[in-house]
Amino acid sequence: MYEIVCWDSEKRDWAVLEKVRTKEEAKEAVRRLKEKCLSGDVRFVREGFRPLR
Amino acid sequence: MISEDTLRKIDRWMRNWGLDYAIIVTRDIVDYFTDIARATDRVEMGGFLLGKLWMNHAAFYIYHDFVQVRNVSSTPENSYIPDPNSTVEVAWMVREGKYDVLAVMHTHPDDAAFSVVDLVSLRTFRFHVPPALRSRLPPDLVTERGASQGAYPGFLVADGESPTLYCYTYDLPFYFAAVEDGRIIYDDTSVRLFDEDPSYYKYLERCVEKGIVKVGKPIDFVRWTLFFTHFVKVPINELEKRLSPEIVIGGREGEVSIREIAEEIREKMKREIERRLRQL
Repeated sequence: MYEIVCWDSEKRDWAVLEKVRTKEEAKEAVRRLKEKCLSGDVRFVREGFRPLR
Repeated sequence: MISEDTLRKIDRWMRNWGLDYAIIVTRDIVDYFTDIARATDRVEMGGFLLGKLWMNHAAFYIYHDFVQVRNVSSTPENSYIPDPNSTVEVAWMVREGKYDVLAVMHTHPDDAAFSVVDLVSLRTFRFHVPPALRSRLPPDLVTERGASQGAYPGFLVADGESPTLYCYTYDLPFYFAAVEDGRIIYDDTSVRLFDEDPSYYKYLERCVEKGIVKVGKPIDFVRWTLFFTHFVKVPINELEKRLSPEIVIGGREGEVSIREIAEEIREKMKREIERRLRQL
């Protein structure tokens, strides 16, 4: 399971936008959700993991 | 590889900047990183980088070879544990002097950076360290028997939205460079996790405090590990762009690159010189 996360500049933390099952779905979701994320920084990670800014 | 002239130039620069450790990777290693980033799908993969040590003012870890090692973790989706038999073999190659230095490298199939487990493992892995390097390391990293905790860097390839290479150390600020035919194609100086991304530092700390991640070490040990983590973050696409292209001759079948031809010529010349020397 992958989480699509967006960097929240105000909270200075990652917010989970969506959860998907496969890596392909995750890549597709990142492209789809880019505009919904104010910072524009959208990534995908496994549950319990986070990216580095 | 990298010429001694280039090493001396970097060494002088490092002396001016007060840096004592340099981590250098060659083209073959960069190719390995890019290949493994493409191959990483659902599970973590990894292996060992092997190399030579060069010392002057600074200690240079020059990685030029690698061994891919099976992941024996029961949860390979979330962790990488190198096959112990292969690990022993690799450790022996260093002890016997075939290589001077090693490093564990693993992959993440997503954008996740190094985990708290990765950082604690780096600090607690005990491997043989050549005596010349031992004397240059902070005393707390070296045991009396010469095995060392955290003497070597860790490498991580994160194959997420933008594939990234992380090189990280415990308590050793360093200079990082990727070289090709003696030319530096990418370089950077490490930053401290605590200064660079405090939110990530806090996130990792929270994982252990709340018991989400278990590392089998006291919380203070974990805090110090995080606090003294230094790293560089290298965009793999950028690294690839800076490599000289491999020119391919011929059709699809039997393709030969210029690099392979040069390698072949070099081998032939070497054999010829050896043959003539035997005749003398």
